[in-house]
Amino acid sequence: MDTMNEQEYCKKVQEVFEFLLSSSCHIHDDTLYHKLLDSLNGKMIIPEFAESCGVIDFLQRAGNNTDISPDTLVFAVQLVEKLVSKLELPGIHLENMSVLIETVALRTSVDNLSVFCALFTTMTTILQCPCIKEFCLNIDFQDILKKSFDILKEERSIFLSRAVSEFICSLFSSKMAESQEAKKLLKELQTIIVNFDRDGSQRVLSPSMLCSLRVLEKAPHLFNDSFAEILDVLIILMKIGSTQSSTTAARCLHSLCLQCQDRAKSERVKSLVTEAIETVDIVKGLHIAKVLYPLQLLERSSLENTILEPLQMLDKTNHSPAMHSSLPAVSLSLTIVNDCNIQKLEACKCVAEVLKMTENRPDDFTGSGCYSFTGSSKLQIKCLDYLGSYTSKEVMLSVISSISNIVSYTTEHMIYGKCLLCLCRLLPEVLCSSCYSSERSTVKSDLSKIKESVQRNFCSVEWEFRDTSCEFVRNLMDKHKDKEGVIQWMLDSRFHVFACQAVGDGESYVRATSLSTLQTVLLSSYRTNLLQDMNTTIDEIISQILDVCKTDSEAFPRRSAARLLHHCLLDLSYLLHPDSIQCIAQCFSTSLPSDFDWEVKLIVVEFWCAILKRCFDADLDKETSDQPLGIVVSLDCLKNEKDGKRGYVSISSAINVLLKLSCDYDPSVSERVCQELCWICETLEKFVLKISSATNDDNRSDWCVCAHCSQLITELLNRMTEGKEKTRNDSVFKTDYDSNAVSLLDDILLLDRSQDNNDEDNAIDCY
Amino acid sequence: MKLSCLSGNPSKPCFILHFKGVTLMLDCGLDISQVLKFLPLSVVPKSDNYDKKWNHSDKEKDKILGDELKEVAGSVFVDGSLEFCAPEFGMTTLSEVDAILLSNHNTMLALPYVTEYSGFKGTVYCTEPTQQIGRQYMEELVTYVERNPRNKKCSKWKSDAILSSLPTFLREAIRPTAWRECYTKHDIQACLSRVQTVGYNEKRNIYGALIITACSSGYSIGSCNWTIKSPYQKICYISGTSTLTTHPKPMDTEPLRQSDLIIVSSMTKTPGYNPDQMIGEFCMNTVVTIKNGGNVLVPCYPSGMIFDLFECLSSHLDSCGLTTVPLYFLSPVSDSSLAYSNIYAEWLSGSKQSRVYLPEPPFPHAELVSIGRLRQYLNIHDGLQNDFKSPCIVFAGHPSLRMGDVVHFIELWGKSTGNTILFTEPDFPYLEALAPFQPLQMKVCYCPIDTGLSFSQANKLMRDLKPGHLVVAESYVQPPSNLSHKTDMVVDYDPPPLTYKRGEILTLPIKRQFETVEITPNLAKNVSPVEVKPGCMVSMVTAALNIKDNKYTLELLPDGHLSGKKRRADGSLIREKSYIWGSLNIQSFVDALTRQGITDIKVEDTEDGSIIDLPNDDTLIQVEGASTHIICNGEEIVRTKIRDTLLRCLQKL
Repeated sequence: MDTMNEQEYCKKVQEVFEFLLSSSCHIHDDTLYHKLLDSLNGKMIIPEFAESCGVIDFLQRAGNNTDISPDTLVFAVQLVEKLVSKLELPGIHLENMSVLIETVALRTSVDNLSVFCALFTTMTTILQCPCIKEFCLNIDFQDILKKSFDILKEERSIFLSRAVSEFICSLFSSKMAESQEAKKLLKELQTIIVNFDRDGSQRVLSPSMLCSLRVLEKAPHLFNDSFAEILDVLIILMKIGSTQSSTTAARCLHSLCLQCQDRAKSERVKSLVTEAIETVDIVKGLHIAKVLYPLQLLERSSLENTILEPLQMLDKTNHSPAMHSSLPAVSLSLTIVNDCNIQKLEACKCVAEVLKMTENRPDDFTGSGCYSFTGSSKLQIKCLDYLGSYTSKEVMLSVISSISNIVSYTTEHMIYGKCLLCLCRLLPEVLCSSCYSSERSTVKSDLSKIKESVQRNFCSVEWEFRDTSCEFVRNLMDKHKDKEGVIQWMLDSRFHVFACQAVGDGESYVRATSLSTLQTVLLSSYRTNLLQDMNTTIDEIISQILDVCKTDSEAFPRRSAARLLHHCLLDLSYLLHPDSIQCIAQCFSTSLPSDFDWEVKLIVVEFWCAILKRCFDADLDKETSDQPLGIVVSLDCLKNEKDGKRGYVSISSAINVLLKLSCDYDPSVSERVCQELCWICETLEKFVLKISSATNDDNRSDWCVCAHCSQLITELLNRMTEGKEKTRNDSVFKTDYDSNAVSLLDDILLLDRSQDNNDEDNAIDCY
Repeated sequence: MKLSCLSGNPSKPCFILHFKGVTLMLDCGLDISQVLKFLPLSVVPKSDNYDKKWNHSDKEKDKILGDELKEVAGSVFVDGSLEFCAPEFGMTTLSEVDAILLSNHNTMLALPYVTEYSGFKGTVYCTEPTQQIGRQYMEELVTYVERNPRNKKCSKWKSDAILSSLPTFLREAIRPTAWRECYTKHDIQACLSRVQTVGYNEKRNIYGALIITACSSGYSIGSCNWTIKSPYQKICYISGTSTLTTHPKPMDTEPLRQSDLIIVSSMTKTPGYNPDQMIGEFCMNTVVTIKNGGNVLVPCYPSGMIFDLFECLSSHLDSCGLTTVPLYFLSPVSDSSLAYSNIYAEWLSGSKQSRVYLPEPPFPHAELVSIGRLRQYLNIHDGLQNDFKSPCIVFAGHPSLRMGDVVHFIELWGKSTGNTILFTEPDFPYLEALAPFQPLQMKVCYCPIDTGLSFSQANKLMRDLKPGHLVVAESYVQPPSNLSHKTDMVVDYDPPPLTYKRGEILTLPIKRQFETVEITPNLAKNVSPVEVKPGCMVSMVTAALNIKDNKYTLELLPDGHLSGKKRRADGSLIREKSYIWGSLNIQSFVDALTRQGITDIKVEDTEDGSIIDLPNDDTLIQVEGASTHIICNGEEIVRTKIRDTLLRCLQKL
């Protein structure tokens, strides 16, 4: 910012502050406060600037002004937070700010929740600043602590309680922890814990108790004096409290145990926790185990037993009516197994067993002595999530059997998708089993069932199923392209044909996925199988894809189609008929650059850059004759348009497409082109130099001297420079306010002026 | 009031209802499932297909049987002309039936048997679409039977001695001796000429005794439920009803409310299958087959659900990118079926009707026909060979697989595993239907689509309609045999429903208590009514009761009869009696008694009235709401005095 702008900015900021301090200030849109705060935060690099802008004066007057609106007060408090944490302010400024904080803390009504939330958030930040002690010199810290403690006890708004709680926790990790005020507060917190009502009537913890426990969790060493009493309370809390209380107590116990130097004490904690887990009900026990498992307070194996207990019980009481009541426990157990990532055989067996129980059945049989878990999508998702990441060999065939049943009858595409993901992972080993296992007939039957279901779902009425099926083929190709057995199974099942036929699907998402899958198959070594099975040629497919690019009304398929053509031309051009190459090149030169979708245009940019790069590389290495891409663009002469002669696009046309896109209305496209133009320009310059030096070559010397080439390079350079400038000034994510900070101030001041006008203007505006 | 059930299949109902002296036949369904016992009528006869004679183990019986029975793939079939199981018309005298009410095209195929061969003189009522679509069904049936006739009539296997020794499939045949051959096209014309078409909610008077009204049932184009009303009773007949949203006009429940009795028939035949899911299955299986390069064969009727199938399937084929797959529709009435469906806009759902105002045909199949994607043929020789393109989807009749072009396609495609036969019509058990074609390589899918009322829908509907009584088929009050664990698959109602089954006559729990009688103006002039309570006036009338067309009229007595004098049968006069009425005013009565010289009267109020004590005459008078007792000590004079006084205190007619 130059001096002129700086002065204007400071002047406007002062005017804004005047307006904010006036009793007539009404800013209904609080985002303006936030933007002003961000703007000031960005500008305030040195304390002097804050002074010249009138920030210090504003904060001083804000503290003394009783007419100030609560929103402005919140803004002032937040401004203090920004300044104190960012700048090294002189003592006098710190004093002004501490006066503001104290005034707000002691004189403002607690009913003004937003002000107090901002105040405690600011204090939490300031506590961690180096100047905290100096800051606190000028305030009655004792009073602020007392106020915070009162707020906790009064159980006001949850947001305020949380802010206060954060503040108190932060206090004990700050330089103020050793202060007398902090010690006094700590005493009170200890008292709250020790005096906790142990008869069980207080199942939900009060904010003050929660805060005390948070402090205990974060700084257990401060509570050493009353270790025994606190341990007693925590164990009781674990046993009789709500799930939240129990888990909080468990975390505290872990903290306590960690800092405990005395081995006997530590052992006592562990034994009490173990006993508590055994005493509490199964769901609460699971919640506690979930907290303790990653903390390693207890032996993991014993916690695993607790976690897997509901699943193991199911196994034993397969058909007992009692099982129905354990659904929440089973669900929770599965969640924990997933969250804690317990990848062990025992867990895997249990999960596979639950999955078996949830197998969907045809409608006819629902209710005929089925488990209550039948078709439970909630459990299925959890089981499949787990088995998708880990499946032991012992249960693999059982899982495949369950998957075959689930995919046959499920009506939820999410479950179907997870089944296929799991299957994709297991398939290589399952296919081995289908050849060598003693249960190979069962495996073959399951795989055949899966094959039929997937084929059916390729033709499902719901597009999500069709989409997921196409995605499955792509996954198989991506993950197992080297595994012949898997690919052969896929080919035998004709999944690749089904997936690629979906290019003409009625749903755009399916078309897009199908095109991506088609790309994967075409680029693989199995393209011949596809072409044979579909009874088509690659050129026919390309023609179909070109149609999608030109006529599809939805962006997703056009993106996929453009990407496919891009890769086909780069990697498979040797298979394509020259007419197809010409069509692709023309499509990327004419239709796609004017597509409505920005991502399609980005693909066009990528396409031409990749082509140019290869051409330049090839030409510089003098390998043009071997490079199939050499036929796409001609490097003989930038001037010499070859499209009329050979039917391809010349390099100048390619560059012209990029130049055209550099002016695209979509900033993401133009910025990208400008980035790419740099290297193109550099390469061209090198190329020109190289060709210029080869003066003996009459053919080459043509283009370096011709006006067309010079003009093109000049234009490229100009556009690149413009682009860089534009990029520097104009980020995609920047708003008008970001580029012109004064305009924000003007807008705020306009609000002030609008008060002067009568309501008639507003009324007219409304119409 | 009686209800006779003539049909053993609640989906092909036929009832006789005797109501207020009128005999009504409710529906006239024909159970075609018996044709499954017969060999298919091949379109292109092949000598080797169904040639293996079935040999009875008893040589004597085998000799009697001759070559009536053939064995195909382990099953035994009758090698004779097709026969159908008509309703038990013997239960009633058909010439006495006053009217036949038809609900939809599915429940009228036995009509020619009634109208043409029984002396029936009544009228047949149905909606116009029902008449036309019913005609198409009948004509299709007759064409199939007559086109490739098997002239041999087999009846030896039906004799009790032989039947009992036949394999189960044939042994289960119900009264095969009563089975009848198909009627002719002439019968259809004659039969339908008796039909009087009605519109929805149009009232028709049956001999002055009953008012019948058809109201939309939502099952098919023109399908209806019937309300049968007398001035004091209302009976509803619900048959072939659907609460789902398909192409027909939605069900109208309003006219069915406040009925004394509802008779329910033609609920879904496949309660275990959800129609929406089945349509999805149908579309999916079709597309899978097509994508695998196979052909799809759909045995179907020429109308009804097929229109929804065309719509859903073409849309699904579009979504799967199969826009060029041809759909062939083969039926002797395919042209009229497609044409008629698009001219009945007022009988269709709101969405279909609104298309007419665009203007567009209500059904999308019109567009499919115009672009050549759906092609209709009368039979396989009607130019199909010229246009035939594979893979394709063929819709052809008959769903029983015993007649029609479908037989040809099964024989043609049955050997290839790539092809699929998709059953959507629930009328026939598909495995039995396929039995003569075994061994079959083509894939078989069963996706029955029956939009009729499911049990839960029926129960919900009845809770809403709240009829006084409910009459349902016996099979509706117990879970279906193949889903015996589904105890919720029953019609549940309070009071428990009455049930019917074939050959049973039910006495309906409705008693006629009142009748409306009109009074002529001349007679009315002589009447002096007395108001006995607010809004209720009473008078004595002596008049002649005239009954004509089930209407009752009171008229002045003809000349020569003394007005106001009642006579016995022998002509002697009956003493004129007066009728007393009203409540006794105790105080007036006491005053009147005092005026008669009775003194020292004591009145005591009790819970039910009053007790008047006349101690001087040793008499008690107990006056209660509807009676007065005079207890006196044998003093006749006192009693008479009290009686006369009492009568004077009451009002008289």
